Amino acid sequence: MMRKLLLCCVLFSSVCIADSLTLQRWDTTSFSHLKQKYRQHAFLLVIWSLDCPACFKEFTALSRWKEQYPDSNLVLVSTDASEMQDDVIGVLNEYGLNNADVWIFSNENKATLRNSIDTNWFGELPRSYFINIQQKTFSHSGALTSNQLSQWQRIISTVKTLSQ
Amino acid sequence: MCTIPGLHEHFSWKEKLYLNNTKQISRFTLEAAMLSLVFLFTPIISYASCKNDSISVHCGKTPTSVFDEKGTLWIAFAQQGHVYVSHSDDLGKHYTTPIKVNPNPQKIYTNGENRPKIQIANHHVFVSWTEKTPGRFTGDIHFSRSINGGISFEPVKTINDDGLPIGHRFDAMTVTPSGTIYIAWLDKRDSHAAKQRNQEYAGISIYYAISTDQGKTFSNNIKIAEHTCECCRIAITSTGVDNATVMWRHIFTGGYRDHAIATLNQEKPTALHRATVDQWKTDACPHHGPSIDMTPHNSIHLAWFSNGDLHKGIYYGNYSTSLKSTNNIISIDHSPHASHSQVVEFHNIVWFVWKSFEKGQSVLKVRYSLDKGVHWSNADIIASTQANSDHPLLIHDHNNIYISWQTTNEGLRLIPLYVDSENTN
Repeated sequence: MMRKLLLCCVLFSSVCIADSLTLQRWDTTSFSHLKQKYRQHAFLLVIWSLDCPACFKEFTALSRWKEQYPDSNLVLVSTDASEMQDDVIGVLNEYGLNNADVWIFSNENKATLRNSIDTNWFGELPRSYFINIQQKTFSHSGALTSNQLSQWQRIISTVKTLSQ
Repeated sequence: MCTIPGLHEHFSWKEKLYLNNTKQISRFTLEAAMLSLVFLFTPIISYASCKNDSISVHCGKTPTSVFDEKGTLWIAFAQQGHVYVSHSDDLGKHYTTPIKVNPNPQKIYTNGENRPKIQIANHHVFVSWTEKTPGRFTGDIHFSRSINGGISFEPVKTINDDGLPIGHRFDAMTVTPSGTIYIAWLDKRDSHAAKQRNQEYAGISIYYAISTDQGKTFSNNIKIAEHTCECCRIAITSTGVDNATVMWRHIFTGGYRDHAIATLNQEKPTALHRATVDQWKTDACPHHGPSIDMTPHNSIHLAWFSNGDLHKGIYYGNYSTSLKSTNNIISIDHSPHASHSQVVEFHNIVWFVWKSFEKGQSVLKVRYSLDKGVHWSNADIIASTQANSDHPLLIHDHNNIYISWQTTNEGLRLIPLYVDSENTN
């Protein structure tokens, strides 16, 4: 009986996560809070939206990467309106990205929020920021490929090994 | 009706036409700056609170504005699953009760680049929009008309004729002087077919349909081009008596997302030509389509955005319909905050408006040219808002040109750019 219960828990764990998934509201202070939270750790910040075909192409690669490296720090920020929250959660569940640090733009002026992330960003999506252990940031516009994610993973792993 | 006391003596449009050298443009810049200041302090039209979900041009999403022949302002907007049409006889001070266009509620695309369109011709009101259908990046292009002055609308037509539950989105509509209605949109049928054959396919396609009986019926769908970008608005303008020209973000060989242009007639499009060479190689969604306006001089004013190797920011260019190339390319604003530009020539002045972000506010900026786009004034901020805002739209009646701009805090504003005191009551 206990074994069956355990099996059910494993099978439906993703559903449990899906049901309880809540998006944090991204405001003008969120990026600095994130940097604080991930201090001494590398993380990948990806900004996306529901109406961005290239973002979904990237999600396929991200999903594979996150499955392979579940401990990697991935932050996903949706620029959609808060009323689209359920659709955003649906996509995150579908791609198995519900274990990432997930956010949605607050109702503040979108231009203000964009500016709080990067004053040099033209607004194209997806937009990614690789933030290393020293908090140096490398930006990229367009869908990330599996190859780029592997390179990033190699860098993280190398730094981790060196610091141990 | 719109004259601003004390300024009319400075701003006769006939006077402006004589100001055609750089020195004189500087003088005009100063005057325009004064005008901008006046507008900044002109009380805006009162904005009804949207907290009670009232149906109005101020509370609805992505209102698109146009003037009819008589100077009546018409607005189409989306709210609570419906497209509505309302009009105003006093330049937006008061609006009529909005009339529902689609009787059955639909999910309607309203992300700025995708918005309901409205055109008025021969006392008929034509409306097109994109319905979000089940699935990802899917939609249908719809059309309805009113032949009783906007009192009621006829049953909704679906313009895409492939019957596939795929993407047909980003409709654009224009009506020619002869009365032909052109509707163009981005269409996934070719990429869908390629996918069925397990073939790689870059982007999607652009199609159009026409009506020669004032929107009673539409033609079969006609392909303009394959391999377009998927998420930017199409620019459309009528050309000559009976044709239309479209400009869109294309995916050129090598993955360069620059712009293409083609002229459409009732039977077929011309071959596409490259309108911009920005060398923007990206696999991103810019959500940032172009704008065009036909000139009386066999050329087309272009406004576009790129983040390419050659051009970054908002640009103006003049496309020669005979040479099939774009000349006189001007960087209007290279800052990363510059967005969603529009260009219109009105009474021999070329106006260029776009959105930007300065000192914590979204702002509208304007530049103008008195010599067909060769020289441009400095940028002036003419409106601002603290909260979210829609794309700005340049519209004009016979005498005046305005920016129609909806912002969350202020509602829909009609901001005059130019007041022709001599022709205004």
